[in-house]
Amino acid sequence: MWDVALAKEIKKRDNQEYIGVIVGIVVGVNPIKVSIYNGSAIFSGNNLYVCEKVNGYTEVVNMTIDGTTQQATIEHEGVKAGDRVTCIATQDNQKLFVIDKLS
Amino acid sequence: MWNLYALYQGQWIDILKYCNNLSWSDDADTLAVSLSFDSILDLPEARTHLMLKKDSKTVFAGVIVNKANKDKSSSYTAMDYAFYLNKNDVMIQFNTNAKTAIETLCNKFGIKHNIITLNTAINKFYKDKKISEVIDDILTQCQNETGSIYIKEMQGDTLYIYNLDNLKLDCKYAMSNDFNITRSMEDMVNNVIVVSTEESDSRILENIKDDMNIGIFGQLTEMLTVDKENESQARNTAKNYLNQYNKTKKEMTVTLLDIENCEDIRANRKIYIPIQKYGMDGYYRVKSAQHTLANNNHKIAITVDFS
Repeated sequence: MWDVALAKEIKKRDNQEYIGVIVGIVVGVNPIKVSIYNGSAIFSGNNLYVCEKVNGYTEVVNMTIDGTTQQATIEHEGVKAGDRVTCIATQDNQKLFVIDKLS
Repeated sequence: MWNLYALYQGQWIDILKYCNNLSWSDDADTLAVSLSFDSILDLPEARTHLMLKKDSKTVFAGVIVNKANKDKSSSYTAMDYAFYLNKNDVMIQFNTNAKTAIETLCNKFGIKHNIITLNTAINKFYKDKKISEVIDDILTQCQNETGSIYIKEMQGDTLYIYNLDNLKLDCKYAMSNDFNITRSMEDMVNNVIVVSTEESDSRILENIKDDMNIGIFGQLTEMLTVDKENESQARNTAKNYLNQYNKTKKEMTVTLLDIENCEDIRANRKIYIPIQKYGMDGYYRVKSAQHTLANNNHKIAITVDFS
C-alpha cells in the first residue's frame, strides 16, 4: 500500500535520540564498569573506551629542593566504585568513552 | 456467519447489523491490524473493545482509537492491541539471546507472549525506542544471522513471534483477473561488504558478490557493519543479505473472493497463487491484505511478494 511506504520513508527521517555527553557512575573496577541512567545501562569490556588517566597512572617528575634536583614518582590513583565520570557516547549509543573523573 | 462484538458494560454485544463499510487491513510494514466501519451507534473511543468473529473464529480483537461523528452516523477506526507496542517508549539494555531479550521486554510491560526459539546474541542498548522498534531490531539481527524471516503479530492480547516458513495458509478463493504484477530492480544489492563497528579497525571483514548479476544489472553495493563480538558471523551475515536482496523485487496485487477460510489471510502469511504464465506457482508471502465485508460478501485485496 502506497500510504504505508510513504509513512515508512517519513519515519526513516526521524532524528535518533543520542546519549551525547553524560555523567556515569563507576560500579566496578578491574575491569571497569560504568553505569548510566540510574543503572538502566552498564557498559564494560568492548563497549567501553577508557582514557589513560582514568585507570590511574604513574608520573615521574624532577623536584628541586634547596638547589638539589631529585627524581620523584607520583602515583595518581584510578577511579573507584562510586566515582562520577564524564562520558561521551558513540553516535549509535552502543559504546562509551570515559574521559575523566569528576571532582 | 460474521459477528462484530463490542464490549458494553462488561458484555459482548453484536453490533454488526448497525454497521456498514466494514473493512480491515494489515501490512507487513505496519504494526497493527486496523479495522474501520461506519455505524449509527455512538461508541466511545478507547473504552470500546471490539471483536470480529467468523463463526467461532476470532478474526480481529482490538480497541477503537479514532472516531468521527457525522449527522446520523459515525466513522470508527479500531486497532488491534499491537497499537500499544507503538505507544510506549523504553530504555533497556540486553546482553543475552534474542528470545530472552524479547521475553524480558514483554515481561517489563506485562505483555503476554509466545516466542519461538531465537538464539542470536543481542548485545545492545536501546534508548527512547518504541517497544515495537526494539522487537523489530532484534528480529532483524536474527534474520541477518540465520537467513530466516521472523515476524511478530498480536493475536488477542498475546504477542507471537513466528518463523515465516511455517505460516502457510489453507484457504479457498476465487481470483479475479484484475491482477497487476510489478517488477523492480531498485532495491537490488549484488555486492555486500561487511566491516567492523570497531573504530580502530578499518578492515573489510567479508565481501561477497554475484559477478553474473553485476554483469547484467551493474554493481549495486551495500556496506554492513557488525559488532566486534560478531565478527565470526560476518560471512554468514553477508551471505544472508545477498540472498535476500540479490534479486528483482516482484509483487502482485489481486482481489480474491472468499470461498473458505480466507479470513485467515493477513500480512506475513504464505498463500498459494497459481499464475503460471508469469512464473507464479507456489506459496508466496502476503505483504498486505485489505478485507472488505459487505452484504456477507467477503473480498480481499492482497499484495503478494514473489521475489
